[in-house]
Amino acid sequence: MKISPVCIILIIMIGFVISGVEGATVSIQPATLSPGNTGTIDILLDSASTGISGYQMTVQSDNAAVAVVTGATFPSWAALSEAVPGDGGSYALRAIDLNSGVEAGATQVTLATLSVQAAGSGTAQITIQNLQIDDDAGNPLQAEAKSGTVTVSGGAPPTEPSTQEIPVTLQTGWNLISIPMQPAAGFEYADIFKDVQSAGHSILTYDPSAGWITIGKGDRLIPMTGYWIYTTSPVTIPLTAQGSPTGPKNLNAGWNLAGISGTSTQSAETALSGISSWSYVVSYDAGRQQYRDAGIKGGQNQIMLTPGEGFWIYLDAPGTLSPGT
Amino acid sequence: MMYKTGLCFLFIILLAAGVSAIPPLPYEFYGNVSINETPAEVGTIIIAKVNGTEVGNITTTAPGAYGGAGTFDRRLVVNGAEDQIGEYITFWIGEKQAAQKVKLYAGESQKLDLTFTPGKEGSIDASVTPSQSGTIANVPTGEETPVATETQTKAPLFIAPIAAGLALIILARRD
Repeated sequence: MKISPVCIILIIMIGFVISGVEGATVSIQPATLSPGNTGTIDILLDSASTGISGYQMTVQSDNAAVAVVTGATFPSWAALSEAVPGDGGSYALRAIDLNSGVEAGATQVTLATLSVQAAGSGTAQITIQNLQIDDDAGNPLQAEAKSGTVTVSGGAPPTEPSTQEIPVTLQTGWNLISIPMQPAAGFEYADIFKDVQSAGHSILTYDPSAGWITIGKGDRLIPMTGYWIYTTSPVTIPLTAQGSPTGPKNLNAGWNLAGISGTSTQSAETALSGISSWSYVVSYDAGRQQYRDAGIKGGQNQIMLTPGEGFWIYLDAPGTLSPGT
Repeated sequence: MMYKTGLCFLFIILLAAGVSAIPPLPYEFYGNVSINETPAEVGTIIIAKVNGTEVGNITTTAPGAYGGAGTFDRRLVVNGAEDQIGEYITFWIGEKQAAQKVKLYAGESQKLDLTFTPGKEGSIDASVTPSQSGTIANVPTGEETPVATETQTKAPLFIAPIAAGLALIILARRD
């Protein structure tokens, strides 16, 4: 059988077209959590053959009774980024790569890391909608969005928690605080601090990979996370917490802002006994407006950690801060 | 012998220096911004630099203004390193430099009206007196009971072994 040159050219052209439309994939990684715990899930772009200059998307859990998205952090290449909470537990994510951090040919690019709060047992799909990615030339990058499955199992369904008042007392100047329990409904977001006279200072937290993070009023307060808050005069902010303990907090290598959970003051050696890689811990005395003496692992000075107070902790390798009692 | 001892001192210091400093709190700015006495347009990108390196930026969302004083308002957040404290922050729109410059300190917030006028670049020192020095902590250096001091200077214990190591190396070479 003789194949005409026209057929050969057509076959080649079809091949090019097929390879041209073969898009990348944006996928949400699967995760397994215990009821009541918080975890992180990466959103990955498998390949960026022409680089990326920015993206936007909306993520949402399809089963809030099992898991909800509570926030997102962004990798260092995202010089401008935001995670804006929307209706129905959705989050709009946007990031811009101003400094060409994601170059042509990059693979397994982390677009964002979601914080997910597990509720009751079951499975939930974290879906991606309205996905738009632009390449380095500003052209749309064709990408398929793949949902991620969150499986919540391994524990009894959470019972209706009793609430507890844990007001946040702020001294004049800078304060390093943390939320030692899961905030109750109506107290989950940073806008509980909206009446603080901050004299133009933002509420801040810190992540070793992202650096300083400015907290927006719609950002969810994450238990066992350290927050810096400035006030021009002493003030007490009402805060109602669920009686149930919070989940563990993941810490990265380097300096982290953290806090212990529960209601009891503990020594650093006890509270941090589950982390093998910590070296130093430093808390802040808001009354004196200066750092306290630093604690070193295995050192002679006994450093006490108080629920509601944040502290700096240095880790040589990633670790997990377990909730106390 | 002294040469080896000196090297040991320096090695210990290098090990100790592996722990980076506690990040200083950012310096935040907000205010009005004008170019040639005309309010800057929406979408103007203001970049803060220290020694030519970008340390923060903001895009204006209202004509002639950047950021605001409210707790949750956006501001120009300058993230400087501990070794940059006391250095001047300069402000840029593209290749244009503002008349104002400010010394970098930790944990401050300042209303700073920026003016971009040819011939006035960096001519106005708008530095404030630092008020948040207590938010600067020295890095523990491996001593049994490291102290986070409120000053910005290196602890004498940190400097002494370096000097001792260098002195021993120099003495060994003279021998």
